[in-house]
Amino acid sequence: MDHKFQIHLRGIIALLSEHLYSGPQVCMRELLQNATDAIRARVLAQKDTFFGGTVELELIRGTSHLPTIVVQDDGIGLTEAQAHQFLATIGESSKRGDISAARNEFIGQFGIGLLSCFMIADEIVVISRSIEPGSAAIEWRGRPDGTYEVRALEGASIEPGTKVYLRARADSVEWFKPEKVEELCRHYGALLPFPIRMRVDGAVTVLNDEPPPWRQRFASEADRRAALMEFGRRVFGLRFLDCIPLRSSVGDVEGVAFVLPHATSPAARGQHRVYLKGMLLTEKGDELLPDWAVFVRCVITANDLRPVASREAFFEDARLAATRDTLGNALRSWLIRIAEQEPARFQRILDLHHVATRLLAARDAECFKVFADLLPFETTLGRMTLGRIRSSGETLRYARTVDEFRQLAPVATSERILVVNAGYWCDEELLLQLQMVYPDTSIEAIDAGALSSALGVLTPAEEDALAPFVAAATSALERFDVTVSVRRFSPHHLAALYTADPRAGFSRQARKAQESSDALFSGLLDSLMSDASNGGAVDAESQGARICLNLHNPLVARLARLENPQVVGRAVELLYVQSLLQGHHPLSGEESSLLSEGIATFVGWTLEGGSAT
Amino acid sequence: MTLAGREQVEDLLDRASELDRRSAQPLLEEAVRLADALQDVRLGLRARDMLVDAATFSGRSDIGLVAFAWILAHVDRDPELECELGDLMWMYKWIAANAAQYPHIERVRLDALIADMERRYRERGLSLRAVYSIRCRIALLLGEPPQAMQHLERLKSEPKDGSNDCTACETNREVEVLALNGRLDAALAAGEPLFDGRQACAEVPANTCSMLLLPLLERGERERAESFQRRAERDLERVDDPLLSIGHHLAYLGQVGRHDHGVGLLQRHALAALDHKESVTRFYFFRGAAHLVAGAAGRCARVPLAAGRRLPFSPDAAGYDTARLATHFREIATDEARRLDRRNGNAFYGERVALGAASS
Repeated sequence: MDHKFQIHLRGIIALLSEHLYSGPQVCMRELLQNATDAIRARVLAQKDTFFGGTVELELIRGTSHLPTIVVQDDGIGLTEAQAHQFLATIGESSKRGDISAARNEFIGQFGIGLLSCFMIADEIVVISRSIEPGSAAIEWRGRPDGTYEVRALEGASIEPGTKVYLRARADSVEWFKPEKVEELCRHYGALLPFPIRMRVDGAVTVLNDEPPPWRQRFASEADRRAALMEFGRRVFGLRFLDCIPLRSSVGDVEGVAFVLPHATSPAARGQHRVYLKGMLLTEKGDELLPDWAVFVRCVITANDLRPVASREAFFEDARLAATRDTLGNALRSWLIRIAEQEPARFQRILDLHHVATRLLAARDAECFKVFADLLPFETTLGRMTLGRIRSSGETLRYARTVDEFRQLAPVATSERILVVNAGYWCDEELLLQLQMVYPDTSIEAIDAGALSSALGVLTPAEEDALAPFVAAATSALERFDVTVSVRRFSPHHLAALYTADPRAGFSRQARKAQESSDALFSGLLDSLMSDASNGGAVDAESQGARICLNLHNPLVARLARLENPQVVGRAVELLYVQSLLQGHHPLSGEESSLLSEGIATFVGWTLEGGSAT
Repeated sequence: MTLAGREQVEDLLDRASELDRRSAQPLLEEAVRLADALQDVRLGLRARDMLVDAATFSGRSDIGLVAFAWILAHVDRDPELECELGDLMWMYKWIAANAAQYPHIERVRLDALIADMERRYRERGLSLRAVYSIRCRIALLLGEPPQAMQHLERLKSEPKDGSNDCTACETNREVEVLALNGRLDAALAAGEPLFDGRQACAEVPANTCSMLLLPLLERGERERAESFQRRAERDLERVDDPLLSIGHHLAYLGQVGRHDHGVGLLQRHALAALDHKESVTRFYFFRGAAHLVAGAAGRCARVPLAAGRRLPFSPDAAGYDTARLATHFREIATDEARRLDRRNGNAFYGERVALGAASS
């Protein structure tokens, strides 16, 4: 014996409200959706005779009863059989079957939208009359416990169309306030092609009386731009920097992108207002634009894209991908045109949105050629544009990480060596793109150790003379795994420069963590630091930690002449700690002890009248 | 401690909070360094709290582990510090989940790590659901799908108490385990809430759809695979460290002959992949890249690639020699496979260097 699944309607409603719909407000969207779908269906069925199409809302208030919303359309209507089939069979939609052969005409395709009304009402009443000849008007009453009734309204003089009555539940009265209903109708239906009229206490307001500005005619381009900017201000409450018209035949998309008046980050998510066939679909919509388009906020209408089940986003298919490419190209072309023809206007955008333009230039050779030279970079000689950096024609040196830049900056700045900080996201990609776009350009990654090694190189004779000094210094610092070298560099007051490549910097942090860790984590950190010896993914140019002693510094020069290795060792230890502190490197326990012991030693020598020389 | 120093750290933390994770990481490392130089434990705790998140999710879980070790040690010494953190045990999940990415972390240490995590969960009265999820994840990284299945079953019997992963991540875990155990139908059925949008989070279902590309293709479900590929590639643009999944895409695009598109994807991610430190991620990325580029060799002799000096050979004006590039990428994948299999004591990764029946 076959049985049927028992449907617990309240449970389904709870599931829908929790997982499918974003909140009770969507029931207004669903009501508008059903009304406009019905009108579209009638237009399709009676294209030669029906030229109307109006949605009317009435808010009935009273002191003695709960408010009621009535949503009426002059669309295709329902017969009694259709009421059983489409209003009370979950998952069935009147938008399937014969009429849905032109499936794209209807965006409420899933037949469960009406259930959303149970989030704010305990009864839905539908009065409808189909356009089918001979159809009687019907009344359908549905309740959230899963029961409903249908009866024919024989003899009633009702025009084709549908009226939906919702009486507020006591805990949902907020959703029936006139200002709330108006707000939601304008929010969802502002761009619908059929007028939405709202009647409250006898007063009628048309809620969508103005087409979007991109569909209007203007006397001049300046007027059009002013209208678009004002539209953007009304919709988003922001005074945007600029506006960019958008159009794509794929997806039948049109609208406008507004350039944000404030900086954004790549992590920012789209907050675009996207309409599908005039009905608001989503206020995120970031799937419609490329990921670098974080500098705009858009209002877009689409007529030929497929929504997901919740109708709050688009389905990722080839058409959406093609639409995204087209819209991205529109933004890109606009940026290129502005950069080439209106540099002052482009500079305003660049000043705010250099992150987005950087990302685009890093990925797109044409964009790179047009505006990469305008992009600002941090350098050891101050902030400057890429164009100015390139103007010398010399090899462009850059630091791959922020930490490496920070380490080499004092010396490079003093020596007037230009090094670019490419440690921030996509900056190195930009410089590598530079090399690909202009193959004759020479670029070189450099770290602090390599920089100091290249400066003030000693003669062979000097190296021989300083060999005992270097040996004593190396011996003193051996336990810290630091390579010692001697050079001459500016600034002279800098006695020593400590540098650590990323691997050495990582080991330093790991050893610091080990000082306080238990055996488990100390062992894990040992394993992490052992990567190099196990043949892991080693940076081929890794140079570890280095300390470069500066012969231009009077103290270093004097130490270099000493023949007392004990004094040299102690002094170098203090210089080592000093260089760490100057570089803002926190001291390990052993290094802290070095500082105090070294000071104690020298003070003791002085008090004892001992000669350090 | 100077006021100026503290303000400098606070400024770095504020700036970092407004950035994506990759951009935030160098600022947070600087903030940690300054806080330690100031000997300000609480400031160091806050900076490391943010650094663990930024580093772990942008492919530097080793840096995250170092920062976490410091945090845990200080919390163990002064338990009151835990309330100044976001969620210490949630952080532990991330750390434990990624430790197996490093083949130089021995199995015995991984076992001790997860045991320690379990101990701390029990001490706090938390459900072990998260612990079994991490055991599941580690088993997958160790190339032990049957063991992962056992952990998945145990996971389901543990209650949810907010310490477990989000629903989307748990569903993703189930799909992954089933797929790697050869139960593709069950995986697809389990993944339906992800595919139809009912469940989603920052990285799911982008990672899920990516992982299923090759299995779907092998079974002849080209249309579904194409749909997954388009959708996942788009979603991966919002993931901070997408490289492991990108590797699946590269392999797939090579298999279906969409070499131009695949090379474009490779160009965008090659630099980050060459610098990446996580072995499993490197394996999948370079396996896919090798296959893609080898397939493109017959159509183009050169591939333009912005790789700096990360490659042991130089390009000419037109780019890198395609065949040589494919060989190099394959060597990287093979090397990572060898290191992982040696640590894991099996041949899971070695068997998957070449695409085929055991391709996922």
